[in-house]
Amino acid sequence: MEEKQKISSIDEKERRKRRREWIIMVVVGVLAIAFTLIASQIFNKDTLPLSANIFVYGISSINVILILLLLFLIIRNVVKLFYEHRRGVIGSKLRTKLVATFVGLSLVPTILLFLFAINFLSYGIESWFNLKIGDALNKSLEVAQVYYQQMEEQAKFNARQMSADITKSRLYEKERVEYLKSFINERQKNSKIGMVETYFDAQKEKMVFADVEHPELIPVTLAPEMIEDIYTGKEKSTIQATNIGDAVVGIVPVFSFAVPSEVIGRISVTYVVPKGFVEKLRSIADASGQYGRIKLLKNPIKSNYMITLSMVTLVIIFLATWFGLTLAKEITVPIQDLVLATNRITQGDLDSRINIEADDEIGLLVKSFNQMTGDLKKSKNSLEEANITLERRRKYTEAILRNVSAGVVSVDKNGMITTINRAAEKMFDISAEKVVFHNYRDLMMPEHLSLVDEFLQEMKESNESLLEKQLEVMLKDKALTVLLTITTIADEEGNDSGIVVVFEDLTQLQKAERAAAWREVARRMAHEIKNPLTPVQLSAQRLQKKYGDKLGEEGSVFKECTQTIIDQVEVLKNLVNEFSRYARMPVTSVAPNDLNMVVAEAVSLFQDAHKDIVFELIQAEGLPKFDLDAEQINRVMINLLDNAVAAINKKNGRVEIIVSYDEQHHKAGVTVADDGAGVPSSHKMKVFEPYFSTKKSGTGLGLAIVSSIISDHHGQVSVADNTPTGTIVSFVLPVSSV
Amino acid sequence: MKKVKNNYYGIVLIFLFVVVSLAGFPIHAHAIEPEIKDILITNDMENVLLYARLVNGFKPDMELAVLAGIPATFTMQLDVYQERSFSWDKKIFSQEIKRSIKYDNLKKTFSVSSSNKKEPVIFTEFESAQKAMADFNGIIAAPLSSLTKGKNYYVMIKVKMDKVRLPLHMEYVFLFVSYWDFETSWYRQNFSY
Repeated sequence: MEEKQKISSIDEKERRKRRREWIIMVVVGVLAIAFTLIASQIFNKDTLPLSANIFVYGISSINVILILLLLFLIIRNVVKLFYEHRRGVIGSKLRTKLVATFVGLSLVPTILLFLFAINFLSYGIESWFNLKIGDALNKSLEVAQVYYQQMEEQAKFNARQMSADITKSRLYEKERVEYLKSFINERQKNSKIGMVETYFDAQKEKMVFADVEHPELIPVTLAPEMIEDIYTGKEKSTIQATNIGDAVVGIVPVFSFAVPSEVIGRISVTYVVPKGFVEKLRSIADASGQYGRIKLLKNPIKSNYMITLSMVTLVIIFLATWFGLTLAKEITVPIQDLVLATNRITQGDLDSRINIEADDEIGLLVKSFNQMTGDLKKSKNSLEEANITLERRRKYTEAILRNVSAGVVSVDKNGMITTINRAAEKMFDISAEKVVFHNYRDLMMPEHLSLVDEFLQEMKESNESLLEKQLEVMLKDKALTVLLTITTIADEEGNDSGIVVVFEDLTQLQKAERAAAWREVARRMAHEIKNPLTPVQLSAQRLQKKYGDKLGEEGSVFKECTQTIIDQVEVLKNLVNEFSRYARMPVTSVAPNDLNMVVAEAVSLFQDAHKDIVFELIQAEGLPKFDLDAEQINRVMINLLDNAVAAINKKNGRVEIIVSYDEQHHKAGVTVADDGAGVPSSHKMKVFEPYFSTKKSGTGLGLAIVSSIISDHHGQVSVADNTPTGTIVSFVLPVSSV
Repeated sequence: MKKVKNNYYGIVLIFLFVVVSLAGFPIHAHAIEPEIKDILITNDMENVLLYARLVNGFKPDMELAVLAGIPATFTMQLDVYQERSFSWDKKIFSQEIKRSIKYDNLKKTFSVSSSNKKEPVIFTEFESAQKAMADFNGIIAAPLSSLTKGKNYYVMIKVKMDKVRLPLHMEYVFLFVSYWDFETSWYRQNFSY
């Protein structure tokens, strides 16, 4: 139950986690698309204020963060899958295969497309920056630049020429200003020189000679640094934009005639590049400049496109991985659940169910599995019920068999003992463990085996399924009278399944019957015999009295004969009395007595009477007083000791008397063992019968009386051989708690 | 299970760290940072004048960009503060001076214009133009009339290069790679009146 709860909580957690991941994925995707769209809209604006800059930067950063988050989720899942695969988690192999297949299927075309796109892009971008185009643009620019250079050189050349003439003619002097003016005008006219400007230290004023073609041209302001350079003797040029076009100015120093190295002024010549032409040149320059700028960005643009393509490729691969993982999970989770559920079922938990709802074949499989589990449970329950009923019946049957007083042994058709009940174990003094599943032929004594074979043959010949026989057997020095009933067992189809043998122990019954019969005989005999004995004895006594003294010397024979009659009648009377005593045994009256003491009393009597025989008494320790008739047990001991002494037919005989106490089974036992002649096996069965004696002068009732007394005490008596010689007679009495 | 979780979370974190580090790497691609040196505060009859020089302001790839015709603009942020013992220092003057350089590929001249001058200055040599861009000479920090005798003041200056306008708004695309723009840290120069 706890495991079921644990499993269901894990399922719930897993479901929540998956839902969370799915939500994150969707949100990431939507945000990324939204931000990209917003950013692309903003990109279209021409001018961007600072706040928009920050905003766009922010959006782009968020975009990257979102992509990283996606990457993180994917990587996390892939790493988790890797570790699960290593650990051999159920479903991980299939999941890995599915993900690998998805990724592989998407990877190959994606990478091919990526490579193709990169190459195509590179080729395209490279073609934009075609050498020819670049070259053409550069050359066009060069042409424009050369034009300006040439203009500058031309200006400087003309200025240089005029400077040299001015120096030579000392036109820089104040007095020669007019000559200077006419010189410059003439030069302007002849050489088509543009605007001329002069400045001489001596004159301290700038003179401007306007360009005839461009009279509106304003003189260019020279930078102080440039003027400084000129005064160091350098020639300079500059291009400045004016309202009518570009003014190309060449400025050269004017040297002193007297001191050729001394700069005493400067002269500049200005040519105008018309506005229209400037614009054309400008457009060439702009085009070239733009090309140059874009060319500068060629590699960054390429890198940017590559990065973008790579990111898109990665996103595709990650999405493929994600779909693979999701699909794999959808397939493997039910399979995992199925495997777990199967394991649980094998361990006996038939209440487990899989809680997956799907409308595809997986759902069908899950449904079928759940149904199968339910059916299994039902079958198991009915089987269990049937087993319980069967078990109950079996136990009942066993209890009956166990408690029935007759021994029951079943043997299968191959002779294998299949069952043996307690009564049979007790009867034959065997243990079930040692005989069950053994063949009876290996266990029985040869003489008993031959009997069994005889009976089986008889059954076979008579074609009867039942055979009843009464027989007397010797089992471990114990004589048994048993009523044997053999029944064959057949199954429903009538095939032989073995036999059942029932043993009813008639020994005690027979003994009791015999004893009762003998008692009856003894009683009748005693009665019949005793009746005429008294008159005979009295008649003999009367004759002796009347005629004994009157016969004189011949009266001695008369006296002898009558005396013999009287004596023998007395003997007969004793015999009859003994029989009568046997026939009418006194009623057993039990009382708590110490068995040790009772036995010791009897032994001490014999010890005194038979000093040549060793009587060894071993008493039981811890034997409590229990209910027994002390007088009768004393009689039993006397009879047993009497027999023992009679059996010892030699000097220095030995009689061992052992009193024992079995506390566990509440039994007290007495054993009388002698080293006399012993009792032959054939006689052992009869020793407890009345009028059976091996003694010359025995009545044959001693052991019968012992057997009767012990039987009245609900005990058992037995006889066995002593080693090396002799007889052991034992009796066991139940010890009832006082 | 816990150990396995830690393992793969560790791997994921390491991966992210590497990615972020690599992403941030190009930002720190510049080995030598621009600095403001030789800061001098002086004055004329009317104003407090600042002299300073920006060094390492022009990187090789920036020079290429300028030569390709992309204009570059430096902005000097200049703030004058009065030191005060018991409260925040008071800002008494603040100005921005923008200085731009643009190459004219037709005339092969560099035009350096400044926000505090009307006319741009033309240079034929790139070095001279760079020097003109980097040297901030005689910048009016504050009029003397706004100062109080006996007080301590300090000037905080910083130079940054404005975001370059690339064709096709590429400056917004190359977000993680800032090729040219930079910003110096604030420099302080104390003076007393």
